[in-house]
Amino acid sequence: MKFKIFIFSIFLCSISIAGGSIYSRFGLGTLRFSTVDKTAGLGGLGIALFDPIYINRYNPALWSELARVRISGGYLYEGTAMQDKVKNTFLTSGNFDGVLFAIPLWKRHGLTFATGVMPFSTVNYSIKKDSVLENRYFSQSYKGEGGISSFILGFSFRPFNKLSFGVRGEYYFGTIVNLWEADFGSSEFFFSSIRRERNYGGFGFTLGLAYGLGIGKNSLTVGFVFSSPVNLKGLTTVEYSVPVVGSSTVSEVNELTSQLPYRAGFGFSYFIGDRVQFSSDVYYQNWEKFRINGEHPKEITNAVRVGAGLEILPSREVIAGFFEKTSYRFGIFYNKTYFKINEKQVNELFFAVGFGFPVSFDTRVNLSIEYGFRGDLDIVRDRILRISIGVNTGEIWFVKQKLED
Amino acid sequence: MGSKVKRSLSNILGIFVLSVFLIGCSKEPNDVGFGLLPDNELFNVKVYEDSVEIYAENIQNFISNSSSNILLIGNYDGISCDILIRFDIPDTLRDIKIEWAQVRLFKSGFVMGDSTLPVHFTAHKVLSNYYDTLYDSRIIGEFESVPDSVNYFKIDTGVVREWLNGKNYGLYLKSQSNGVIWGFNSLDAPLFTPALEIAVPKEGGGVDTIRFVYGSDGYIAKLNERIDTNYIVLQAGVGLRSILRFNVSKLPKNIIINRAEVSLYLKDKRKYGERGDSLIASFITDINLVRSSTGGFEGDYLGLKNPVDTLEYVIPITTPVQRWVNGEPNNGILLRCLSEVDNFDRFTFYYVERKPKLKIYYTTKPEI
Repeated sequence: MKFKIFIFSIFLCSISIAGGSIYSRFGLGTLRFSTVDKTAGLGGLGIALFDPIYINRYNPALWSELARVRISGGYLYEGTAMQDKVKNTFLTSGNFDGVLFAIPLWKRHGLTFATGVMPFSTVNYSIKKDSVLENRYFSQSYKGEGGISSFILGFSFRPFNKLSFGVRGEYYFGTIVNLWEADFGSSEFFFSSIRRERNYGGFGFTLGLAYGLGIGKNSLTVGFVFSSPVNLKGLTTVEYSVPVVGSSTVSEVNELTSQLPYRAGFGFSYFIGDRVQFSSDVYYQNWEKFRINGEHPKEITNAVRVGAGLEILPSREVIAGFFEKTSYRFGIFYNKTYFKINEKQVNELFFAVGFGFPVSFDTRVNLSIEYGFRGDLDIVRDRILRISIGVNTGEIWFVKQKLED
Repeated sequence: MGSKVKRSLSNILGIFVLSVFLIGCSKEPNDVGFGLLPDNELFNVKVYEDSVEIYAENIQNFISNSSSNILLIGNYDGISCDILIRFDIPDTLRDIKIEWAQVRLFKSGFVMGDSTLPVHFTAHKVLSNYYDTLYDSRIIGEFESVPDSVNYFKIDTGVVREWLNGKNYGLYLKSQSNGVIWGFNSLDAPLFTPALEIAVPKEGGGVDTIRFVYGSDGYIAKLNERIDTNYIVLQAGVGLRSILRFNVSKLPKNIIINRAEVSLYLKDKRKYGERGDSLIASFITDINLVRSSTGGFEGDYLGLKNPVDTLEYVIPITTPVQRWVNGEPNNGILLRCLSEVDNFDRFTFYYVERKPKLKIYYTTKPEI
């Protein structure tokens, strides 16, 4: 039943509405870090975030500690207030934020298989500029939508008591659509529209290591992840219409190649007390090696993300009250993004607060609120509000039922 | 379903509804961030104007009136109209005797000019193919009168005999009057159509009248005037049209035409009826076919009078310009009156003193 509710929730959450930051116009869009599960309330980190009921999105080595079959996923609302020196606007979007499914098979050695789909990047912008030419009004619209996701399939293994590793294969796929439109607002004028669709696909992998794996006071866990470079291939289709009867739509199709660079991160988590866990991450992405059709976009540069978070869980006791069993999370992260506009790197600073509400013994609904800033007024400053809701639930599978005579 | 599960489900739905509500707070996109777009990825909208490299050529095409409901005959204001008509006659009647033969014509409501003047025309035998309109100069019948509701004129029975024997090329009614053009119902009219009536003697005295009401007909309108090449002259009915050519080679190649229009400035207009003021432009695919009145153009682009400046006529030619930019041969456009049948409206536009103006709004495609 819990899984049915989960699937229903995912269905509701799959409704997407467009409108977001102009920065997602560049590169592959805005890179997505974990934004719906418990990490969202901790500043979006998790390379060493150790939790037996959490399917770690960053480090596959930490799947080794899962005790039950688990599934997690969620929905993200994002409101972006964009502002330059003259104007501002507020655009919103909502989107399904991935789903992961994990099955522990050999608990003694932490052998757990996991699969799922995770967002990697999102393109979501909309600009409209009104102009007048020779006393004739017209508006230009520039829109983008889509993004890259990754389908993952991997496992974890714990050969020794405190050391585990994990590996996951990743298939990156997705479509990024850019639209150009010029509208004169009159049926006497032909509406100019160009649609560029880029389809991507390519294989990569992520390796993870974790050491420590304790949950008692003063326990320290360190983690390391490395994601391989990825060769993406696909097609670019450009379609536009001209005011000619019969052959009004023109399509141009070309091959597309792109190279995702390697990414690597290090993190640790530390139990200050039995119920208080502090975590911190550093995540580096070598985007200088990013290429589209052999060329490196000048708006893309290397990126580094650092963050820290604190989780307080007052009680794990079954008989404890609702608020005692609720997790309280606080986080912060600073991100030197991979955007470099006008020779200036675009940075982000986010603050986060989150809650993990106990629904049943092994199910939590994670609610997180993030608020942060991206860029500055010299270019465009985004003030971003994210509200995410995620469901993380587990069941016992593969247990023989004992029949009573 | 357990109460906890119900509660969790309602929590999820509640937050989802809240998200949708928050999404509804979104504003309309504006130009914040427009400056971040690379220059080569912008949609540049531009305008191109030309009043110099526009060339006009007046031509006169044949206008087929064969499907018209009326037959016009007479001369008025330089316009001359004659009638061509042929009745279908079965050859089974070739041996009959003919006492007399006459043609019946019903007057239509059309009259152009002085309606007190009579119509005067002579009838001639068409010598060869009906469509060649080559006729014998010998008069085989004549009519001169202010038309009544029904009108008859006798024709030579010898010619009718030829028709009965199979040499039926028709009858040419040549106008001999001036100052008026009268209209009669044609064979395509729903009622009161023309007829050929033959009187055949009956045994025992008297005659039987045989009436033929099927066949082909039409009128041929001509303009007896040399057109001044300093003007663009369009006249309905007589097929006065104009070929306009534009030099669009200065436009970039890789563009989308949002709107192309040509403005013509009216010098003089002669209206002969209550028809509209509209013009039609067409894309010329074959200039030789256009000149020979056998086609060579396609598409109808409606040109209208500017409601603000009644001397300006604006004709949209967006599609033709896009086709020329795409590389199709630029033979220009054919300009003509919207309704050319049963109508003689005439528009004279300036060509030399005030050149037509071509205006093109176009979008350059981003380098993507």
